[in-house]
Amino acid sequence: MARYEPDPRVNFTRFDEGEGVLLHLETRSYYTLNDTGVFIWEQLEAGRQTVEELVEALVANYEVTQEEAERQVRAFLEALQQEGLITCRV
Amino acid sequence: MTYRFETFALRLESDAEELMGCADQVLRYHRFRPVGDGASPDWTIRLVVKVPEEPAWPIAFEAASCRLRTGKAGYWLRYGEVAFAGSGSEWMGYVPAGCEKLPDFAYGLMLAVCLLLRKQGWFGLHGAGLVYQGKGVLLVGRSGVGKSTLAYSLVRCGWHFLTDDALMVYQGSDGIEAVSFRKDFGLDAKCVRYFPELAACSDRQPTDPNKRRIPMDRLYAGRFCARCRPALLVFPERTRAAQSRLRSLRRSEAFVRLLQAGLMFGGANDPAERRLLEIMRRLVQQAPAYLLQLGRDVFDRPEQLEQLLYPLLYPTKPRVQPPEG
Repeated sequence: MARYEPDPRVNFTRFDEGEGVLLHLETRSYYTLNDTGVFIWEQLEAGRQTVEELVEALVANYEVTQEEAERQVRAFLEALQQEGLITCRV
Repeated sequence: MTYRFETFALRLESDAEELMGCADQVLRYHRFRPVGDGASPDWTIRLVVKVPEEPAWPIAFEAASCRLRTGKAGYWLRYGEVAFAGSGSEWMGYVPAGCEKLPDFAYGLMLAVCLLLRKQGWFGLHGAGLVYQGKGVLLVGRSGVGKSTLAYSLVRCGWHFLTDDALMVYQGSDGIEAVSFRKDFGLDAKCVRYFPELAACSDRQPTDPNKRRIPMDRLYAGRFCARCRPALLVFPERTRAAQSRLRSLRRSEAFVRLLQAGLMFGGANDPAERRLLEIMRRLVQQAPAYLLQLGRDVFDRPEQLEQLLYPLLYPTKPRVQPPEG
């Protein structure tokens, strides 16, 4: 089962409105997170690092179906991976 | 000779008289005041006339003419032909013969000083600093966007100023504070069209000889403020529109724009880098931010800018409505 981890070189900055910014301190690439993105990132940091764990957390906290949650989590993880902000271990 | 900038003392040493003279001009231009040789320095930079030899250390940062390497022996910073190396409080500056008068030397020396200051939690920011009735306003953005012209037009309207382009920000006792890192403005010769009094200013900026050095103390005596607590962040952006517009920025948007205007040198292992990000976060929490899409109006009628910014500093209170429907 694939496990996703925040890259230790990434700095996460959270703002009061629920938004956040991820900045890779080596490549300088950054990624702006909305409230849902912040929630998923904080789950990753808290150790929920599989798609299943993240979907479960999302469904428990947001008004969203299992299918839609899984679609969103997978798309988000793929985008973060492309930016080099998380690593994936299989 | 020892120089003082705010609470910091920098000792400069060199056997080369001309090199020392050029360094003295650059430091004074950035608000370092000579205090003789008695003060105990926080840092010492020894300048020598020598072609620098680049070590094979890992590159921590590289952009245009600037390269920063970090190794066991500390930092190695190159800017153009000159280089500065050191760790802790002892630094060396290597300046090839004849390079002391080039802008490379002025930039390199001040970047080295910025590296020393960032270790103390003071971070460089490309921005103009102004004060209107005690409220600090920062105009933040890349070179060429028109910060200096806008800042100068506000000073003409009676505003106080910190700088047109070089700020330091740090965590003060009452929030994030901005400090002037250069008092005299640097304006393009074309600005004489808008500001005829600048025709008499013929000196050049040490760091950018294409710009005129505007002696602000002489033109606007008593208007300089060394520091302010920013209450408003404005990010100017040029457009082709006739009329300027303001758009409120979310904090995350303002944060990203601040990052682009900040001096970020370090890598992931540099604790100062994360400290800088925290300072930027606090700054956008402290001061509301706006994107200023510049139209021709603010350049044709410089007083227009004050009219745009005033409601942001003094929002009108909502009118009282009768309590019952």
